[in-house]
Amino acid sequence: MKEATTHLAPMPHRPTPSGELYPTAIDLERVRAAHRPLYEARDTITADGNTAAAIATLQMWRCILFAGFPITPSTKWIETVASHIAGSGGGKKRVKLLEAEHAVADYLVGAAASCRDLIFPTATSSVGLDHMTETTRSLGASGLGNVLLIDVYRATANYPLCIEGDPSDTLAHRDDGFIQIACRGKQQIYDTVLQAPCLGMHPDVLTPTMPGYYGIKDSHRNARLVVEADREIHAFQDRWIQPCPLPGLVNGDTAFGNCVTSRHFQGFKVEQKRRLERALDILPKIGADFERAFGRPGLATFDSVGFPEDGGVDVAVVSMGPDFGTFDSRRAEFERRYDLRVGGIAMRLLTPFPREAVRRRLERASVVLVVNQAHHWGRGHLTLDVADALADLPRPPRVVGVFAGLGGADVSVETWERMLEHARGALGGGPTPPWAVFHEGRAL
Amino acid sequence: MEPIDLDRTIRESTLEVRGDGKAGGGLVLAFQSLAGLMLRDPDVHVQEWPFFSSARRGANIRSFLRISRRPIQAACEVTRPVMAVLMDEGAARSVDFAQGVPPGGTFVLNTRHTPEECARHYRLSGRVVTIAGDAIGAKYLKHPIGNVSLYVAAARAVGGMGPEAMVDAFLEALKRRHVPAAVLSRNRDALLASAEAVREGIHDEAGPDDHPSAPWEGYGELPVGAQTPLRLSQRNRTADFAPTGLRLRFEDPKTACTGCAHCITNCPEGIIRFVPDAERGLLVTGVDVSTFCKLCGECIAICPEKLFCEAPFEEHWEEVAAT
Amino acid sequence: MSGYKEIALRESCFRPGSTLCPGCMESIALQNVGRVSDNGAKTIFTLGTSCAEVSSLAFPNVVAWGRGDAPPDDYAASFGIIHNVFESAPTLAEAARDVADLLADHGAIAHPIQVIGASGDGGAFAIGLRSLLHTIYRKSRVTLMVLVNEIFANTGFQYSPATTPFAETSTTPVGDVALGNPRPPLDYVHLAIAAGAGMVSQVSPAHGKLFVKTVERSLACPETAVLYVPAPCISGWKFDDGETVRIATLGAQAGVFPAFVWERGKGGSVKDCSLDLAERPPIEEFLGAQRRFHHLVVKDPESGRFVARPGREEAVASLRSWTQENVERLYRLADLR
Repeated sequence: MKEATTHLAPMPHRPTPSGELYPTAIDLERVRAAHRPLYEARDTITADGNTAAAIATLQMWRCILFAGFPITPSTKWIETVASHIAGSGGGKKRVKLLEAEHAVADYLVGAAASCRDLIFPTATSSVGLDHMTETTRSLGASGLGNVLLIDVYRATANYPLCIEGDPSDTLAHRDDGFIQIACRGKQQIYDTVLQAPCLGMHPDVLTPTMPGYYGIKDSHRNARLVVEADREIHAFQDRWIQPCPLPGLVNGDTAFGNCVTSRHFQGFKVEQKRRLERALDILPKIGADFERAFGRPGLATFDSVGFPEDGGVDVAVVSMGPDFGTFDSRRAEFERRYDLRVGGIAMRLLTPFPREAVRRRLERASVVLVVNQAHHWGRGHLTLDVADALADLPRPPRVVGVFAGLGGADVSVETWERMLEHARGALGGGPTPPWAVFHEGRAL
Repeated sequence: MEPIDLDRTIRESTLEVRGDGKAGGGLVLAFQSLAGLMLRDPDVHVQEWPFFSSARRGANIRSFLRISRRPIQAACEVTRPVMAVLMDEGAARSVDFAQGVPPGGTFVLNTRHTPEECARHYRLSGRVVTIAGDAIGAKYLKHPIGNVSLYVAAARAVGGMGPEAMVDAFLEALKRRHVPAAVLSRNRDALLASAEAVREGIHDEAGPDDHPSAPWEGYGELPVGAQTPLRLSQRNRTADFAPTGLRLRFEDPKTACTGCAHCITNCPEGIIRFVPDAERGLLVTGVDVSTFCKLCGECIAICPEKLFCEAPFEEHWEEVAAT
Repeated sequence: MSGYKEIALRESCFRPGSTLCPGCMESIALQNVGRVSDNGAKTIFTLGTSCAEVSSLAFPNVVAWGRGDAPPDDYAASFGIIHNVFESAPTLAEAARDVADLLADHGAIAHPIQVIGASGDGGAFAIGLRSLLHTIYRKSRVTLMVLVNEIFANTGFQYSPATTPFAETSTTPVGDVALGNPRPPLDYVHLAIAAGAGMVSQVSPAHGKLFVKTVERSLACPETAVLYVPAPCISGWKFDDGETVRIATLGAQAGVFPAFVWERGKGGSVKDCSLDLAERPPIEEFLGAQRRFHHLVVKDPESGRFVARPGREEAVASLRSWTQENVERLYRLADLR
């Protein structure tokens, strides 16, 4: 075997800080050419959130290996992918079924390290994400930005047990190192999955991404979805995704997963934080390019409604996910009824938290009502981040932290009304409790 | 240069001690015993810990000890010890055991050299205490291990404890490690013999630029995710893992090597040198002993022609001092 | 099949400079696997957390891997290695295999790639049994090495599911009422066969030619090849310098970890270990060389041979009968097709 290969011509190579890279070892054009498009032209279909995510991953030429575990069929992501590939619509693409979520995460590490120019997606949820934790933490620090972990938000294993939609799972993983992007609505799910790898694989970022959406409320509700032509998606992604500057296992001479002592560990963590922070600058640029290409808003740190030019509002609502839509649908009525100016933002980028952008948006609000939907020991994950973003303003708005919709509980119109009344109470400067929980129009 | 009074340091502030040795050489036991000894005085506080790493047998390790009559609050590393201990001279090949020690500090060394020779070689200014611990270990414990003696020398350097307490504290540390009674008895003999063998002198050989505390120079460029190039191991001189004072020797004056290749395939480091040979297939010509050989002895055990052996190896101090 | 000496001439991808203990069997095994795998295919190695990993993959100093000393023009001599977590080496190997196969299927790579995963027995049989068995079950075309030193050596010599009965470990200490490890090892050879491995072997470099040949066959196996390497641990088993290979030979011959090679469809054989107890070296000789069995045997000053300590005769007899069961079991497994 050895003799058989010695006649091979030397392969071009170049040094990188992570070892020798053989840029021609993998002919990616072959992979691109083998892609079978799902859509030749823009189309409008009906889809739930899981289907939207599955279609997006199937349309990327860089996704050729789809790893999953049966918790993901509860999201229908891998079932949708498998069914498409079983019908040979995927060509040479393959589905890989593993024995546990932990194995899926390990598998993603091995696959993403093997070829850093392909995108390796999976989808998971709740305890599935928790089971991956050991490896999501190493992944978060690995530099493998080509891992795309789609999370369908659900409560985590937390007695009493509940598997319905709230973002406890993703928010419990704030410090894993992933870029976490929340979506609401099928279109945003589809669009975000297409854009997330552009951010994660950017040479200044090199950080895996975790786009996510609410279980049931978004994962299982059907609505209209505009899908783009594969060709256009490829053109967009190829503008952002360049060959990875670092070697992989197949096209490199390199060592991944080295141990360090305390002498260096902190230095690596500083670099990891910097890469994550650079995502704050690059994300809006990708979003703007997406909007130019497809005519819909692209990635943003948050969606904003109801703010006047000068940003001055009586009450600014900070929330995330589909329940923000309930608020938005009644916002004008609330303004009339309470004679208040009411704006709102729905967070998209959860990690890194866009501190500066949130401060600029909320600095002229009188009261900021932060609606948390995940279990938290204190005032709520979002409340703490928003309070921190506003803390060094000369006259910071009052931050009122509330909870609603825990474990996927319905957040009714009455509940929104009651929460706004709660916030209005703070306008007069009166005392508010550090946190309160609302349901069906009542404070609990 | 006035030697620093250790007892006064313990009374008025904190005596900080740092020790260098090799994993498996008993440094940790010596420091634990020293801490146990000091704690026999109910008014004394101690803090004792080894540097935590994945060091395997023969690799450099460090131990630390703080002793004070006041409760010890400091949690930071000891970087300017008043007393520095060298358990194994081989450990001093890759670190400066006296780094950061102020003039007048105390230096305790397990060595067969005299305090004066050590002061000149290591450029020490202060109290130099030496003991030929390996020889005592070889005599009483059937193994050239110097930690018993070094413990005695260090305890005497700190002072304040009688010989009985000194013996008891060490044996207690051994008992906690479930050492059998016969071995305890041999250790007692070694402890008593060590007390007679400590040598000491005051010397002033350090220049103003010797043993500076190394400033931290930043992390430099770190590769993303600690993903690194390969073949960096050439910087790692694992020959220092070998027992100090010994090296592997290969001698084959009569070309007796049969080319069986067993030494090559059983060398854990893959450092047996050989040349292709028409008759034998290959002919072993030597070993890279100075860089990587840990002197594990597998080649010695396996060679059918007994071409490998352990041989004394001594570093020439004058040469080293001159460079 | 390459000759033993020819293998010795090759370049190992395991470089000197690891911080493994002097005389470590894992090091010897990796040296040899490194040489055999220098066969013209590009090698990708995956490592689970273990002594071998922390002592060979560390930033910035120790990265004791790669082929040759110069940046190679020869892509076949390039090398990729990855460590993730304790239990993940088989899964990572499978992922690398799949990506390489898929790229080859697309015509995107031309050069052959071989994938080797290595774990310790703690990583493979305790925390990582799931990943080991499922990668075997999916018949991934990788070679999975398990370096079996019978303990969690990396963390301080604790019991593992491969620990020999009566061995003293830091979590199965010997005391007035305890005689070390109370239970026989997990039957990991049979597990791998049952899970669907294409090849299962148990052999250490102490059986040099057999080891080299077995590694070669494992690398050529079209399904998962599992290679258990009995790895005497100088620090955990507590024996003298220069004894590693001798103890590995003795342990195999005495029936503690007999050399065994098995291939699906062909069956296998036990090598250098008789089914007849009387034809094997006495188990006391194996025990006597290691201080982890100090509570069982003592050297008889007259004969110079190791004998059961007074009062421990029953324990030694029990251990002897376990080795007989162990040997018989492997002989039975050899008959499986």
